[in-house]
Formats: sequence, structure tokens, C-alpha cells
Amino acid sequence: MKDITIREFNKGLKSKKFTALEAATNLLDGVADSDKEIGAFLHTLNNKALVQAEKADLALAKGDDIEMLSGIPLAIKDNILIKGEKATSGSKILEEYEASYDATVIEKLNDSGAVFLGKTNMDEFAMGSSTENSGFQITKNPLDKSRVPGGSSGGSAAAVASGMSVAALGSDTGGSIRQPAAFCGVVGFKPTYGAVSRHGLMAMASSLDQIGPITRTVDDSALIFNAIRGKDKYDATSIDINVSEGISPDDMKDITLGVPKEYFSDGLSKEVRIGVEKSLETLKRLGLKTKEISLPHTEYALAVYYIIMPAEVSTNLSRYDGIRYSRITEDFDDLQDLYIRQRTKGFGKETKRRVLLGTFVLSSGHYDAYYKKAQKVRRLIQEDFDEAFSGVDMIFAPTTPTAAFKIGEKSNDPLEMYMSDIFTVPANLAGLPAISIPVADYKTQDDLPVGFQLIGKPKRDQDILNLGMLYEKETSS
Amino acid sequence: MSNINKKLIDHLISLARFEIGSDKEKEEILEDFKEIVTYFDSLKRVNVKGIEPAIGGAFEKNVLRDDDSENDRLERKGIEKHFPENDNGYNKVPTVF
Repeated sequence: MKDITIREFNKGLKSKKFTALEAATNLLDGVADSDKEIGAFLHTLNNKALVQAEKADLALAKGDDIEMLSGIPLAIKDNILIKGEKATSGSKILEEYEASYDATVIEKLNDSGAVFLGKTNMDEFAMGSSTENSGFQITKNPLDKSRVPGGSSGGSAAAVASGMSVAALGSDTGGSIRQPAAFCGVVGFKPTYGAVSRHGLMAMASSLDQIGPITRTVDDSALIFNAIRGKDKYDATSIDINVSEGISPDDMKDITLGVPKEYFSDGLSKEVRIGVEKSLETLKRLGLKTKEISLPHTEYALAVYYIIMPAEVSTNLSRYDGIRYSRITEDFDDLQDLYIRQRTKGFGKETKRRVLLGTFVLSSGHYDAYYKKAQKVRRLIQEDFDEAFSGVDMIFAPTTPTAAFKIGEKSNDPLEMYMSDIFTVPANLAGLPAISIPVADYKTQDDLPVGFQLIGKPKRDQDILNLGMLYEKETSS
Repeated sequence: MSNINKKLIDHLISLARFEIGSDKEKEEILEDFKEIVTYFDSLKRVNVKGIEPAIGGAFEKNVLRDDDSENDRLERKGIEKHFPENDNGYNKVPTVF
């Protein structure tokens, strides 16, 4: 059960090797047993999971043609709402909050018969790159417990990498799916902006947020993506994507992969460079061409991101005022006093820092110099990609500048921490689909995995999924 | 970075509606701010003459609908539950003035 993929799980169910109930029970026992050391889950959904699993078994026993996700145990990031269950987003301010409706992705996964094992730990409101900013606990990297799992979807990545869950959902605003996936040696996929509905995802930075899967294989990511994608009347930014338009595996040998020189600069550690170059060699063996390209505004992407994101954060987090969602302070004089006591007590250090930064860049006197300027440079970054995609089909890049770092190593230096998002942020700013895939048969000197990234054209999610699947096939044989 | 000072941080804290416990923590925030805003200043090098701001990540235009309540997932009880203090269908808010 520890390394099983969704497809293998489905086969196992159909051939009666195990039942969904046995699998769910087994995994929940595993969480109870080994999550004390890892800290991937904030809470498990034992009763709900067992009911869902029984339902999947019943459908199979009745002879129904069950869906691929039927009975599949999943871990869900805690900023995604499941009706009647706690949803804290890793924040003390929502410690008692219980969701009153299902997120669209949850409704869709429910319809597919999936089983929700529990809600996973995360940096508070998805703000962080190490899961050290959770208001409740630190999650450890299952591959080396002295190191971070990455973030902000660190709990989801750790749950999959440790074998506690078959797959998971995360959210990615600036790399929060791909970076922890790379650190934990699993696959993380951020779809095109809008391809998956954000209804029921607690908003962090609305022009950047996107839900996506964290899985053991690219194939598994594609299966989950197909179950959760699609236009939703509850999210005006959601769109339909035509997955049949993807470049077919047979045609993959005729494509050109762009390799942006700015991503292979001084900021990239030697060990990661060697790893991603190895995966590039593998891809070349498939017959596809590569071409060096330039995305000249890459060096500004991080500054743009750390202006636009906090601006949206400071706006989105104003809703946590003690009037709505939950109240953690009892003693207050009036409305203003309630706001202040609630937010002082409920928000952690990094959240406060980002709300202050956002308030700063939006305030009069600084708006034009920072926020508006960042929006203009964001346009230039998008245009860099448009230009590049006129000559190449997909882009190849490292996911992170280094492998997983030590717990505490960067937690006192915010700018240093922000730098770990440097290769993932541009895809969010441009709204592009991007996937992180572990480099096969490669580990750093510290025995840590390395991820490479494929970035696709807008709405061409299937292209990068198809190439990722080819890479997996090539490296598994 | 002369305009990034303690007074600015205090002003932003009051706008953000929370408090920062100790002077030491405020000092840390000030130092982090200086470093981060200096990093932002790299954008000064970029020529953006004639460039329109990119205001979002969406690929499609907004879709408008009739102004009817449609959210069947959020029943009345669900909405009430979103307010920690409610009484008989009314949501309670502390005294404003």
C-alpha cells in the first residue's frame, strides 16, 4: 500500500485483492502510528473516510463500473472546505471553524467516489515555503526528518511521500504544490489558472491561487486533474480545458523544448543542476529537440510576486475579523477592539508581515511605485512567455534552486525563504500550467530528491502531462 | 529607504487592525521591511513605458448572471454557522459606536 498508484489501487479493488474499507482502515492506522513523527495531518476524518470507502465497496459489489478514483484514499490541504469538517488553513484564527459547504473540487471528488483520509498541515493561509509557518505544528520531510517538506502544501506532499495517503490535493500560489513535491520526491501539478474551480478554497492571492494534485506519478496527477477540472458557475475565473488537444505521445518526438538560460544561472545549486540536466538528457533520448531561450524579465519575477501577492493577501485576509467564521477572543469592548484582539491573537508572524507588506504597497504614496509597477512588470513577464512559446512547445526548468533545506535554516530570514520560490513563481504570474517531476535515479549527496519542471502554454495542460508520462515510462523501463 | 521607519510600521499596524506585541518584534519587522523593500527597488530598472498593468491571471472575460441567489450549497443554516454569534436567525455584531 505504501507505494501504490491510483491505477494500481483501482486494479487491486477490481481484482478483490483488498477492499476500499480495508485500505482506508489500513492507511488511517498508519497515520495514527507514524504521523506523530511527520506531522503531515492536522486532523483525520476517520468516520467520513470509512463511510466513503464502504460506499465504494458497495458500488463494486453491485457490479457497477466504478470510476478510477472510486475508493482512492486522498489527503486534502486544510484550506479546502469539506462540509461539516474543520478547516483551519493552518491558522489559529480558524481553530474552531467548521466548513458549511463542500468546495467544488470536493464535490467532484465525492462524485468520483474518492475517500478523504484527513486534512493536511500547511503554512498559515498558504504563506510559506517550508510548512514551518503553520499555527499548529511543523511538518517534517519523510525522507529526512531534520529537513522541511517544503511548503505551503508540505503536509500534502509529506502524506504522499511517506505512504500515509495514495495522493493529495494542494494549492499553488507561487509554487506551493511544485516546491514541496520536489522536496519530497513526488509529482506536483499546478494547472492553468482557472482550469480548476477555486470555490471553497480559502483565498490567499486570488489572481494566482490554483488547486492541483500531489501524487506518486504523472499519470495519477492526470487522473485527479480530469476529475476536478472544469468551468464552475461558482468561480467566475474558471474555464474549460480541452484535454484531447494535448500533443500525443507519438508526436512528442517532433516538439521543441525551450530551456530558459535565466533558470540555469548562479542561483541554481550544482547538485540540482546536475539532476535536472540528467532528466533533460533522458527527454532528448525520446527524440525531442531542445532550444535555449531567454525569458529576460525572470530576474524581476520574485519582486513582482512579493508585491502582488501580499497586496491580495492583505485584502483577502480582512475577512477574518471575529464577526465571521470563528471567534477566538471573548473579552472585548467594541467592534474595533474585537477586530484587533482577534487578529492579534489569531495571526502568526509571517501572516502579519505579509498583511503589513500588502498594506504598504497598496497605500497612497506607494501604490504607483510598487503595486502598479509590479502589475506592469507582470505583463512583461507574461509577454516573455508568449514570445518564447512562439518558438517552442513547452519549457523545461528546475523546480527549486536547492534540495530540501534544514528545519529552522531559513525561518529567521524571510527574503532568503522567499528565494526558494524563484523558479516556480513565474508560471503563477503568467497563469501557465506547470508540473514538477522527480528526476529518476538521482539523489543529492545528502540523499535528497530533485525535481524538474515542465511549463506549458496556457490551457495546454495535457501537453506537459503527456510529456511527463513519457518521461516516467522511459525511466521505469 | 529613509521612508521605511518605525512611524511607518506603526501606521501600517494600525491600518491592518492588529497589534505587534513587543518593541523587539517591531524592530525585527522594520529590519525585514527594509531588506524586502530594497529588493523591490530592483523593479526601478525596468522600463514600463506604455505597458498596461496586468490585473489578473484570468484568460476569459467575466461572465455576468442575473442578480438572483443561486448558491444552493450554502443554505441558511450554513450562513448562520459562518457567524459565531447568532440568535434566532439574526447575526450579532458588537456595538459599533
